[in-house]
Amino acid sequence: MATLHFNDALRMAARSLRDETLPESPKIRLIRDVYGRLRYALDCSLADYPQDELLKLQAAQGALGAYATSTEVLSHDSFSDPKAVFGSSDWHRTLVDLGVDEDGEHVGVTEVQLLDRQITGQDWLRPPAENEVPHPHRLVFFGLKGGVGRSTALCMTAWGLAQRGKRVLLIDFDLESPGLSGLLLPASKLADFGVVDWLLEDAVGQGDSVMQHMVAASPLADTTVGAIRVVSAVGRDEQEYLAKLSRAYADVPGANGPQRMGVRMRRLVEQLEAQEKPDVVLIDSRAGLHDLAAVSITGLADTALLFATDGAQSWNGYRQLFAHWQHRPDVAQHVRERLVMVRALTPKTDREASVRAFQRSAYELFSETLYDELPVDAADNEELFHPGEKDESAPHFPILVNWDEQFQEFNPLLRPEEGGATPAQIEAAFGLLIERLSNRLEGETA
Amino acid sequence: MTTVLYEQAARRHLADAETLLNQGRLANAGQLYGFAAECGLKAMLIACGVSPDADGGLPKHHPANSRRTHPFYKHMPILKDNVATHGQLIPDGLLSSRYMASMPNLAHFRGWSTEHRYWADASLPFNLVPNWQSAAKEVATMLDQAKQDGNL
Repeated sequence: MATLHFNDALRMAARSLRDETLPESPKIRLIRDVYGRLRYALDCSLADYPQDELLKLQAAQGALGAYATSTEVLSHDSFSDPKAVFGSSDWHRTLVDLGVDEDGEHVGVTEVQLLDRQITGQDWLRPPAENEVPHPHRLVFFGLKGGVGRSTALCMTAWGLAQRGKRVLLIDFDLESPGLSGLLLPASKLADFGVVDWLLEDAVGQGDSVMQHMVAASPLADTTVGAIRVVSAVGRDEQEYLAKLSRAYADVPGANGPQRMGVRMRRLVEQLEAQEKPDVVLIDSRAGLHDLAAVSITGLADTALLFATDGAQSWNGYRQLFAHWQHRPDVAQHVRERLVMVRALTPKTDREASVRAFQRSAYELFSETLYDELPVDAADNEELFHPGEKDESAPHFPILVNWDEQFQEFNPLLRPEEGGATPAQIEAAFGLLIERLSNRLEGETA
Repeated sequence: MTTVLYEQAARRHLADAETLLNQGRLANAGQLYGFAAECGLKAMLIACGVSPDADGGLPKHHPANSRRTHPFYKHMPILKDNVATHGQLIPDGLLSSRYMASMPNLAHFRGWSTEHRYWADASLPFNLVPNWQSAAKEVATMLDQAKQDGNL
């Protein structure tokens, strides 16, 4: 028998559930453990489940080989608090492609309730609760890799929004590569504490003690009518950053169970918003498919800007991320309308063709993953979310950020007379971005 | 099959403690809450990679020095302190910190002792039983987590 690998295991486990003799209720669920191994789970006591069918399930579970956690089919008897386990918000309606049968025919797609226990990255699938407290618009800046001008774009957006009179709060969540504050604050103006300090102090119950001392005003907004308030990753005169960073992601005990990283970051953002009362919050997300990015994009963003260049690395990476959501329709529906593609480093030469090619790739990616599939005889598509390729307000429709030598190794704090950028240069490179984001904010308050 | 199965023992002690508490038998309910927590912690340690002995229990001797007792071969409340102090002996620190974070009130066992089984009713700290109960339930919730994770 061929060795069963990760991808096959869920497919096989789901296939076995199509047996029509299995009872209608309770619907059999699946728990995938931290190693990717599977067990069936019954939302009832074993005694209340037909024994013949239970034997079938055990046999199907056994057939998963190395990808069966054990022979035990989970039920209320397996847990001390089954209500909490079966009522967890981490259960997701999950689409599983059943693959092909012996004749090579596609079997179809089925839906299972899956509890996916992960070591990291669980936050990609944790949108905020419905009853979220009202908050200012949060813009998350994300890229799969560094070096595409994300931080510069973020600084210039902050400046552009401050120019338009906004009070901007900027938070650096790129803890592994902290540096945003260097672009916005001279070292002497850094606040005493950074995000990493709050995470540590909060873990020992005194996050409030640093809250007042972690925001600094950026001189970049001195010539604007608004303000740029900066929360950096690192505080002033930091000597122990790595010692702190290595402890920052711990789960912290709380009165209602452990507080995970995502919950703590949300609390930090909410407290900063309450203290600073910004019109808009800009979050610099960690690059790559990392937990911090997951929290920022799925859990915090009202708008998530996805920076990309036109290369296989960008498209393949985003395709993996989108597929992860696509298989969980509830999460996909929450996330997709918050996404906006940004075409970083748009070249000056052969610009039009390059922009068209990017737009096309972005549209194809969204169509194949996050947009609803359009039926062939589409008479009434109004319920479906599938914007047209040329719809400028659609998630796939890229905002262009122009490549400009001026902004390589750029110091936004320099005045034009010192070699810094002039407002006209900033508008030329980042004007479209600033304008579209500004419209998005206005659209929300209108 | 090994003789020792900490997870099952933990759940059994908790269920029986609840039964005794409901019947007003506080003294032995209290003892069992402590043993439920102890067995739950020991199940967690093994789930996080601490090597058990041939019986499936925690070994008696320190892994690095056979003349010393293994710091996890202890009852509550010393066991909980040693888990915190000797964290370096737990192979999977990421998992153990995840599980430890779901048990914030292990300190409640400070007033618990195996010696209570010899004590007179009048000397027993019955006022602490609700604390032991809530802490033992946290341990059970942690076991439920580890079960879903595939570590139990």
